Amino acid sequence: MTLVRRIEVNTGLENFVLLDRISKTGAATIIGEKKYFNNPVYLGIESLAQLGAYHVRFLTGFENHAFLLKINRCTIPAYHVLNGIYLLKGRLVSQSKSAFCYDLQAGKGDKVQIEGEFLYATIDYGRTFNKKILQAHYRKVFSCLQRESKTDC
Amino acid sequence: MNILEEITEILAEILDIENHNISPETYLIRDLGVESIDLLELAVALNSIFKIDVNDDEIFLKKLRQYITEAEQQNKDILQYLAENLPFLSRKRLEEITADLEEGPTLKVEDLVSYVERQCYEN
Repeated sequence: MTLVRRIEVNTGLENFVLLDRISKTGAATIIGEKKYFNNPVYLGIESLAQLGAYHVRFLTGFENHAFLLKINRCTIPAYHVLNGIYLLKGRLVSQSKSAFCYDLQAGKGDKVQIEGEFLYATIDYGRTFNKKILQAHYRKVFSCLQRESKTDC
Repeated sequence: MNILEEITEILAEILDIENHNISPETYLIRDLGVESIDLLELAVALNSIFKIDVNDDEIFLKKLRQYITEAEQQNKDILQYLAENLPFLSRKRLEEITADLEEGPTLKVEDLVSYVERQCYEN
């Protein structure tokens, strides 16, 4: 008899991609935005982590698996709820062949509310991180986030 | 500060240890217990401070054993092959490394200094 156990993960979110748009991508910068609806601050930190990871993928031509290794420091607002449209900015501070350090910040209006230093690493795709699936997925999401219209995303 | 002093400062901060525990002869992994995440932090710190390109595979001698295997398979002189692939290491250091392989990871602080010196010179 085969026992099949199904594990359901409920993040409380409709979508794991916590970015609405990537409006600008350069050699050392990336800018995006996200609209929050009374969401906890940790989702803002996750948005920043995702923004930085997409810049690492962009820099490496989506040829490697990129992941957040460490948050060296992060300041968060005293008011622990995010509401409204936030501008997300990332600046590549330093890098090696397989490590990337970013200053990432989320702000509303002209006030920065979350700011931190995030360290990413890249590894080759392999058995754990399937290149065929993940590379296509991240390319597609990145492309969608750069478009004004999300109708076919 | 010179290159050794800068690297000592960086390592001491990443590993949360005192500077006097670090010398050119210190083995990063054997003596200090450096882990892969520490090496990645070290790599970006070196890039930031010295404004040099840092190739993690080279500076941390990650392909050392692969190079030795390749030299053996191709019947090449091991030291010569290593010198071609790790040009920042002196012949004397490469001899030490090849004689020391069985003791474990051979990366020393002096190897980092040699790498940074070479990269700074090339820049």
